[in-house]
Amino acid sequence: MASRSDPNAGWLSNHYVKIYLVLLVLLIVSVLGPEVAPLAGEGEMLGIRIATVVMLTTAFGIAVVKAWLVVKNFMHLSIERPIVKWFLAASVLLLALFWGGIAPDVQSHEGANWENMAARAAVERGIAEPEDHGAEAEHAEEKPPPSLVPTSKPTGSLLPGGYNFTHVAFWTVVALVAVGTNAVAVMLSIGAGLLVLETVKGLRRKQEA
Amino acid sequence: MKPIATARAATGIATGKLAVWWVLASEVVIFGGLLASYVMYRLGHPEWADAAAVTNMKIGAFNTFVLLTSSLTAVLAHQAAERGDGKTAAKFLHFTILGATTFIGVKAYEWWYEISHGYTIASNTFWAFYYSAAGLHAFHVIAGAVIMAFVARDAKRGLELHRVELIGIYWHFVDVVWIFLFPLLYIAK
Repeated sequence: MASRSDPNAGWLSNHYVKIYLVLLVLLIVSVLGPEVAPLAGEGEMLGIRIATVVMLTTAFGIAVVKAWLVVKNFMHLSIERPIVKWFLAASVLLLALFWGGIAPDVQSHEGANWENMAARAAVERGIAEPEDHGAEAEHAEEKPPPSLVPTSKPTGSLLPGGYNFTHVAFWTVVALVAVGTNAVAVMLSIGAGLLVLETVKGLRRKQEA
Repeated sequence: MKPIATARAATGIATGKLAVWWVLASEVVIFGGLLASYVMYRLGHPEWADAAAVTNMKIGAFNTFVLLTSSLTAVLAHQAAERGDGKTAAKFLHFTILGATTFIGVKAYEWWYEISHGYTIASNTFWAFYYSAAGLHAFHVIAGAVIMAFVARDAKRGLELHRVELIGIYWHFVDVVWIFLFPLLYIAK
């Protein structure tokens, strides 16, 4: 699978060396990104500063491209059996569920009828005392975290069944924790199922031959 | 008698290779969960930018260069193993181990510097994530290098050459994880 180049040819004609050189160029671009981004000025694109867009693209956009080059060319995923892709897809799906369930409560500090005052206080302390990195932990001990404090805000975003978004997010998280703590068992079950399917397919192919 | 992972391939893919991909699928959840949590918190806590500004991008970039280079030598080892050239495969694997050692050495210096300046795992949540993610990754680098030493020893004698590809797949995954850790911990200030 790895013999994609003539081993007797020069180094630079080796497919893997070419990919490596592309990866190095991308690394240089991602390192230069934060230096170049401020040159974009204060302009905005779709409500986001262009400098931020440049920085995010050169950092994370290039990381995705680099990872894909490694996975495709060095790990040979593109020519691997489908069962491998199914394994990885199952893992990525679990991650997507994890993100979808938890992000609404972690990334924002208020919802329809709740406020995460501890998180807000941490942000305010961090911005007010940027030099003292140990301060956050000390302050956290002094003040008990009133994590999810009900407020008098109207519950305007009711979903069918009388639930609002926060309740749905909460139960999604509970379900994800249940799934997450059993991730290995879930993976094994999916894998065992796929193994059975592939074996049956193999037997059929043999019979047809 | 050959181990079953070498001789059996009920699914059309060698069982040993299937097992490696299986491990990596679970690693995707482990590292993915950790990195996803970091990103979620980072987006909700703009004050972390101040702590993130302390990390040294030049050191991170150098370690990225080291890991990318070690990935190249790992895949060249695989290429040599496919030709049946165990000695060349072992030589490239030794270069990969050298890359792993360099990476860990640089990381040790970096951590020593940060800890000596008061940035410890208990400083705040940013540093807790930083040391957890980079530490878990470093543990994988060390484990990979140790396994690679055993595979290289056999490969040098022309034995079990298929294992060169298996440890290579694992090693590239470790590289991919770092490719995402680098912008998250070193570039996004």
